[in-house]
Amino acid sequence: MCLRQFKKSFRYFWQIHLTVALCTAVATGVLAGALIVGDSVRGSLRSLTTERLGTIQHALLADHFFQPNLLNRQDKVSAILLNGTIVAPQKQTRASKVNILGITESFFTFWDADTAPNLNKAAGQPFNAIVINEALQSELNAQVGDTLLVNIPQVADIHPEFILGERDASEAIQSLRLVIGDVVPAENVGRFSLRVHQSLPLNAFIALPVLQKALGQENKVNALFTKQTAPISSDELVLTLEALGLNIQEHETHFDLQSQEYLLKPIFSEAALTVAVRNQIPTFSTLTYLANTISANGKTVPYSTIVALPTDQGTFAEYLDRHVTETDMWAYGQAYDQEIKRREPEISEENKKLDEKIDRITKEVNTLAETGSKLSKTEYKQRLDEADIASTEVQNALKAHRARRKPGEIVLNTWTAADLGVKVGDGINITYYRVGASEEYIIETASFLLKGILPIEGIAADRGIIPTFPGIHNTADMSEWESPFPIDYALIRDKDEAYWDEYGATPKAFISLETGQRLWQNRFGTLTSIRMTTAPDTDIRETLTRFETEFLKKIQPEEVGFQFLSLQADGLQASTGATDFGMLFGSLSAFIIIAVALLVGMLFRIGVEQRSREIGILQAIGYPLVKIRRRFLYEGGIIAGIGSLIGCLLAVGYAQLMIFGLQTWWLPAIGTPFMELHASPWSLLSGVLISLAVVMISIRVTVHKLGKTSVVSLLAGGTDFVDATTTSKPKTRKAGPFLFFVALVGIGVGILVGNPIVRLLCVALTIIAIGAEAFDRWLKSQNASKRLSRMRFAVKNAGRQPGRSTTCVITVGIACCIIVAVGANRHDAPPETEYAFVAESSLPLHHSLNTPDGRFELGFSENASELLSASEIIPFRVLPGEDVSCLNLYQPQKPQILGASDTMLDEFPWRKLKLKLSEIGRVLAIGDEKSLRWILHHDPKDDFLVQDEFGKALRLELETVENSIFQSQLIISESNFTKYFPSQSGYQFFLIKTPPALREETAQILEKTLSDYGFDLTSAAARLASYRAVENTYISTFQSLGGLGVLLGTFGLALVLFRNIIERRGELATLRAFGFQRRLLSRMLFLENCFLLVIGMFIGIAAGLAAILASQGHLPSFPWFSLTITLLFIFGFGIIANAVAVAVALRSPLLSTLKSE
Amino acid sequence: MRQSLTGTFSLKVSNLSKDFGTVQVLRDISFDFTDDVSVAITGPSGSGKSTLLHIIGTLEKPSNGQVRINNTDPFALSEPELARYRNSVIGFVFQDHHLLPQYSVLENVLVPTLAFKQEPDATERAHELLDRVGLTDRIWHRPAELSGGERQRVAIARALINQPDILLCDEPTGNLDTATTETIANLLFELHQAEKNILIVVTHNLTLALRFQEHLQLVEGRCSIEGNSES
Repeated sequence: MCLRQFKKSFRYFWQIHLTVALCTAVATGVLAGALIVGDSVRGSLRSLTTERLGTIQHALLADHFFQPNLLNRQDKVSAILLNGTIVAPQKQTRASKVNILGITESFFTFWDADTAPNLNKAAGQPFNAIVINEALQSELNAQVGDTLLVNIPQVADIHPEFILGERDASEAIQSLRLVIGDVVPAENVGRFSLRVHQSLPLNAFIALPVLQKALGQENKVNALFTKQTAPISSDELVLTLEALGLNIQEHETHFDLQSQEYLLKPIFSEAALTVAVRNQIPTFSTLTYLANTISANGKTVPYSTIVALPTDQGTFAEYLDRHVTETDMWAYGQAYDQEIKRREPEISEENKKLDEKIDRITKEVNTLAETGSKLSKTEYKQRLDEADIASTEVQNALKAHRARRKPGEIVLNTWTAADLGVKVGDGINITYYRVGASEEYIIETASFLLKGILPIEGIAADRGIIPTFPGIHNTADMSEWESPFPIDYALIRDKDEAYWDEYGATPKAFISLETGQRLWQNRFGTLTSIRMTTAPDTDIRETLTRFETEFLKKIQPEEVGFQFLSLQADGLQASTGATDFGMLFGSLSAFIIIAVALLVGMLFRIGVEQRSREIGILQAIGYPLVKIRRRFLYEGGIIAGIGSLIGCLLAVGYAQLMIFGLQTWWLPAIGTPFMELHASPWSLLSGVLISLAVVMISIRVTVHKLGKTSVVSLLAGGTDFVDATTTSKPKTRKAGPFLFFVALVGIGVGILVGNPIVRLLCVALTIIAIGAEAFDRWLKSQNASKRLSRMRFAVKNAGRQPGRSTTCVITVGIACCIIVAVGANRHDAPPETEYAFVAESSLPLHHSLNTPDGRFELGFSENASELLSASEIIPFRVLPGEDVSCLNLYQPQKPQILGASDTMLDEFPWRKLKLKLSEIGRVLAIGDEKSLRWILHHDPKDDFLVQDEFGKALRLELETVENSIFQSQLIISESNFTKYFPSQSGYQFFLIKTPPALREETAQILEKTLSDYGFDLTSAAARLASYRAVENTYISTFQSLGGLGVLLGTFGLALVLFRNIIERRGELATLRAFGFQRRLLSRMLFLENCFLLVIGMFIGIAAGLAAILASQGHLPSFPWFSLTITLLFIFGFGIIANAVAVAVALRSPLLSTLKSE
Repeated sequence: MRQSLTGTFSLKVSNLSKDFGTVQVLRDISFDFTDDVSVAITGPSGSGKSTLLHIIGTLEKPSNGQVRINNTDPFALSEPELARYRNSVIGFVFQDHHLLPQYSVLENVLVPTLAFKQEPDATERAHELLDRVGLTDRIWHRPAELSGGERQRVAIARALINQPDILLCDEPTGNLDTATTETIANLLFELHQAEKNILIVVTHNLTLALRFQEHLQLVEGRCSIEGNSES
């Protein structure tokens, strides 16, 4: 078709062409706009990442302090990164979760700042300077010159949860008094954070040397940054024993490997022993512990060092053999036999109980296997889990029972044996402290038989195997001990002081290493010292050098707390976003695009119908039908093409509007107004191509129908290509099985597909298609002999052009379907939870808030402690990580993990976390279903992979909960947490149950007393509400698409009404001639369209409900009120639009149509 | 004989003129018909036949002059009154039948009864009329399934459903062949005899016109009336 013809055609039929073009523009606009929204979210997150990190490419972080020269790079920038709280005493304000950064001025060079803020102490100022960002300034309401108290965790070599670790609140935190020297804007360095989140961080910068000095870590850091693009590799690290916190005590014939952390980490002891074996270096491992008492015969020796060591062979065994006489051995044998006999009844009773337990579990499992099918899925699962848990408990009991069967052996030195007045074969009891689950000190007792008595000489007098006890070792008197655990100084006698003066920490007792490790087991290590002697054919110096070299080679930095991060690359990867807005908007736009395609099809058909005579004439004069079809197709293509181009502009406008919405009305969905428009040409092109393709298919289908009308009919102005009125036979009977089949296939496919969105789309569109088809057939079948009434008159009028009526019904149905399917998930009711508060602390708490002792240690007054006793506080350990809830727009890569204490694990499904999986490196975890599926994009049926503290893969077998308060984290049991993340200390996340009347007071007391820890409470309901607010906001944005569908549907209805009136002017005039008043005609036309509106809404609501049911497996608690209001609004809007359309269409005189002249 | 409310049917047109802008279609037309008279209106194309019929049928207003039907000036009535008046007093048959394609034959006949409260015996009367026009076996068919003659018979039955005083037919056989024209004409006369109303038919068919009692000829907007001795 030549351009001239098209121009003429367009000019003559401009109204219909313009409408087709506009509809195509709407389709393109909606789809491309949706994709641009996705681009914008990703682009904005990318910009944030770039701004947050500046030119930093890679980082080396460690969970401990190290010398910067460990990394062999020239451009490295050193820093200390800490988490802390800041108090502004003058303003009485406090900020928690503050990033405390110890930096040098070179840190600012990562950003293109003209001037770096001054970190140095101002002249005349008594205190050092601190620079804060605007976000922190706003939080503290502080000004330059104000003094701030910065609370940071105290650095200690020994883990606070070990018996010798410092947990005292006053010792665990230290405060620095600093003066605000400058405030930096919340951009560039002011936005620096390692946390991948769109929210503004609270940053405080302190000169590195000041922080190093305060922490007692001169010349040490815990972070290095580089702008080089080459990643930092473990090969670039020059590890030293010092950097690993190890030291070697060198002697003439041997050397001792010990740790500054007191216990040798298992990784170090294993590596050391392996290297020793490989180099034939003889080793002698020991575990030294402090006993509270050694007692026998009613006498007690207080506070003694006990060493657990290999007693069967090696140095000590030889030494013991030399000093134990045959009489002693006989006496010990007698005592041993008697003890075994004494324990027999007890042992057999325990055996019996265990056997009964095992039987019970076996029976339960068998019964479950037989009757399981009668139980509900949840009940079956719950009972199976219970059986598993019981089985695990029995296994543990068996293990403990086996260990108790045989009496332990102990060797005392002569001083102790004499003091207790014991001989070989006598029973000896020792008491010692163990750290309980809530970090309380528990006194344990162990019983032994005295196997030998050794003089204080040789190995029995060797203090070299004893590592340094902090606060104890270097004191002159025992009464000067400053231990972290409680000491009863009244027990210390003069003779004890005399022993201390003469022998110091020389061990008073020796037990076997196996027994020692069983008694004093903890997660930090099983040895305190490894003594190594000369390897064959070398001297001690050479042995040591060989050992050190090979040992350091064997240690991988990732296994000992070093992390190599590609910050820039990971940040950019995360900025692809947790929620693909483009996909979400695009999926829902699919409904709109289908509605538009139907409208375009209908419009184009109307356009072609207008030209039926033209088509008839062309056919009459010999034009082939193919050519005519092609001509209309080209015409449609050009119009749709123009529409698509206009759509590109609409797309940008639509995206801009959506972004504006996300920055203002729907702000809860993104948290911070950070978004800006990012339009990718690919998104525009995709939008254009997809919408154009859909529209062209619709036009092609319409054009294809051209040949179905006879030429004579066309010449006579016949407009119905498929004249529905030519047949009077109802088709519904034949349609039944077919519709059933289609419905079955569509819904079946929908249900089988895993992706809930695809399932929702599939089921919704199938139901709408089936509903529309049934309606269409019903319309065509309306010829039965029923009494004619005005209502039936209107219904039959709707059947005059069934295609158009059905199109309107589908369009309205689609809009209602979107609104119902999306709106059904809206949560109108305030969230309910059994917990009053969720609390988080910046610094870990090491004492229980549920016990008076713990509260006392944490500084609560008696009254406050009594008030808190009415509350139950469930503590969780925290592995720092990313927020995996919908509050985080970035794609989280390393989720925050909580360790749930036993209190939490008493109920289903939490109990399951108690289960120990047989597979090493695999544990049970609980995650929120929505967070897993939508934010982590992980199928909960598969294991989720994280890294444990030693850089090894840890597989989490997932159990899901829904709409829980734990949408931001994954949860494992505390025992697994401490096993895989042993160096994480204390509790930083809490759930609090408080009687409603005490809530306010409890919150105040907790926040006030624990302010140094940065203890912040949030109402649990408010936390849940914040998650819901995000969901509701998403729903609002998607419902706006439903609103667009309503507009399109109403537009379609009005259009059909107009067109019908134009076509039926003759009919309407006839009715006027027979006495129908204009008002009556208006009412009938109005009724006709309202009928279509009601049917469309009905189909849409049904499709929406079915789709929700299919995608979620159940109907959510329905927000009836808001949904009813929305649907009523749609109905009202449709009615008003109809009324206006009828009034406008019937304004022109009808009766003149009847004139035949 | 069926009677109007005033006793007898009457149609009086006095000095009627109609112009459309500068074009004068009807000039000073006057006539007076009473009782069950049948009238044919003939004239060349553009002579104002249909316009005159539409004015009589109250579909159009005259520019000048007066129309009185049964001594009532319909144009003095309000819109609702006029609609009710038209519904009960006048019946129309158009050249293009103007049947509603979505309705069956029976429903088309019943359409005028829906304009106001439907009489309880409307359906019975529709069946009776369809029986009289010979379409008993086609009542559930749609217009598209009927021949031209059948469609026109439906249109006639529809026009008579409310027992109008005046039946106006605008070239009812214009699109029909000779044989069908004859059938329709016979039917019209037959029903006219039975219904006893005033029958006015616009036609180009002079042979048909001669069968009417009165013959009104229009030429350039003016009329002359002749009585047909044959009828």
